[in-house]
Amino acid sequence: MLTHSLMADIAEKQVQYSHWFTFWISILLIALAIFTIMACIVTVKGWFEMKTMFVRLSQLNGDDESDDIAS
Amino acid sequence: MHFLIANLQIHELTHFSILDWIIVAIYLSISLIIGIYVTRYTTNMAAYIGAGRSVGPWLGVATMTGTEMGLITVMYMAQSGFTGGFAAFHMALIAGGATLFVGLTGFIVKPLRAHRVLTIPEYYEKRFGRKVRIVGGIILSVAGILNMGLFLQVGAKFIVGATGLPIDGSALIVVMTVLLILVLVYTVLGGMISVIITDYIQFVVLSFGVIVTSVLAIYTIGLDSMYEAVKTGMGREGFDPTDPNGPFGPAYVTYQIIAAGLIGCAVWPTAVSRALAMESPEAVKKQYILSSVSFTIRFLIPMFWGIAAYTFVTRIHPEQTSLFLGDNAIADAGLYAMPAFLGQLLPIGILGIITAAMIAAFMSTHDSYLLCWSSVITQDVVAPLRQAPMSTAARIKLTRICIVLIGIFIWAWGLFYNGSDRIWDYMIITGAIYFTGALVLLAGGLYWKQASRVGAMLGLIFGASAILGLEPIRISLVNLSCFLLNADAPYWLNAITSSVVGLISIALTLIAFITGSLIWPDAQQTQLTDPVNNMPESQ
Repeated sequence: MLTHSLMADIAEKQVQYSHWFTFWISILLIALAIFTIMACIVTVKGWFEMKTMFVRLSQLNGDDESDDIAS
Repeated sequence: MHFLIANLQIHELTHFSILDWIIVAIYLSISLIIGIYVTRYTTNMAAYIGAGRSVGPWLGVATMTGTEMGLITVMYMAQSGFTGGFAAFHMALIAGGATLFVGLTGFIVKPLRAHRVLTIPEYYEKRFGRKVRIVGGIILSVAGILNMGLFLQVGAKFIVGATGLPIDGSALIVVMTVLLILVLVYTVLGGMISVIITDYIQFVVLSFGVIVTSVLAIYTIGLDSMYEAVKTGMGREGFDPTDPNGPFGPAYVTYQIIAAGLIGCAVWPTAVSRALAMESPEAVKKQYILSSVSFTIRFLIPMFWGIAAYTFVTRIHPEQTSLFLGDNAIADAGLYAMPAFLGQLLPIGILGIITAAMIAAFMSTHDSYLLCWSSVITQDVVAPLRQAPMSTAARIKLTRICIVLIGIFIWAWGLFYNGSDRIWDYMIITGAIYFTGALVLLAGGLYWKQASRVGAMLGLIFGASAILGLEPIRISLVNLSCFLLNADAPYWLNAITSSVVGLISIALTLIAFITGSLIWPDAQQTQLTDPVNNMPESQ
């Protein structure tokens, strides 16, 4: 609804730089929408991966990592 | 007298309250506790600077976004939006597109991860020998430390502007000092593990802040007003980045495709260090594809806030115009405009959360950069120069000492250096001292069998010529050349911009690398890594 309203406002513009403006604002709104969805997914999945990372690090603490330091 | 009036007005603009300070304090305390808590996992160098190579793709996206969307990025991109209007958006488009390209193709990062190196100079040694690693490490650390020299000062300006602290200097010093100490404590103790955890928290808080602030800006200011403000105040150059009369132009856009695009995600060490910490080469590609959205957003949203701030001071509150625009504007007005705008836009509580998110952004960038440059000094300069091998404990100790020394340097640099109006340009040029050579060496080393040690060394040396693009050096050289050749100095100063110097530098580096490799080939060719199968190719 918000996006529709905003895009309608943009489309009404018949002035000189409206094509540039429409282009840039479309990118902004699309990126913002995708980022919102992605942020939710990354937050949830990242949390579980963080827990996995700590499990692995605990195991590493128990073993001597073979490729610790290159040269 | 004017300064005092301006100071008083900025101080009165923000809504920042006690509640907001409490929110900020709680956040900082949590970060510090985490930094101390995770020290139990840092028992070896791989864990300290590479988190044990156990980072999954989603966590990788969070941490890469947390690092690359630092407060310095927010500030200089807001400044670009404030001064360049919608035309500045081209940098965001380029950054996102380039990251997506790297994610889809695995260009540079996938084969580099397959080599299982911890730093880029370490790859130099595998491919071109120890001397190239040491020279590359020195150039990288010098360029990197210079590049982050303004971080502390610019970041502190956000906090001063948003909270309404006095801008006369003393508050700036206090903010810089306190934040630096906090960053040093948890970076020194926890290494990459604490960096990743705090980056994750920052991602969550910052994502919330970005979305809420942007929606509030759209509702409060209105897109109509922004369009009218930019059209009236900037004209065509506020919309068209290729307008030769504007602040950008064709050469600038071309250079950004390389610098803000390819370099920012595939060659810049702090971004690459995330790729090297991933659990597999395939995870690297996935991480980059997903991060392309973040890489767009990290430029786009601050620019949008900068445009909103411009509209706010020119149309909504025109009585503030003289503070930020014109001959009587305060020093660094383009930097202070966005935080001052947020201080008026956001309600109490939300302002505290956003400020905490920005401080988180500030800290996560610092911790990653400090860890990156200090580990390069340890792993790629000091350790290879020593005859006897260094123990893990000695390496971690040296890295920690370097972190503290670099922290002290950027604190002093931030106090004594007066940043120019275009912080982004300063960062691009200082970064170019390193990345011009690195781009050629990495791409050439990974994909061209005939690349040789001599070619690599020449590439590194010619790459450092990008320093000629720094304003004082560029102006002096052009003036001197015009004096000797009796040419029109103003014309050539306008024609040979920093971006043109950068493009010439890349071309020279490429020529030197190819010519050197062809004339002085290696006696024995080194193995390449097959970017498709991640296995060393047989020669």
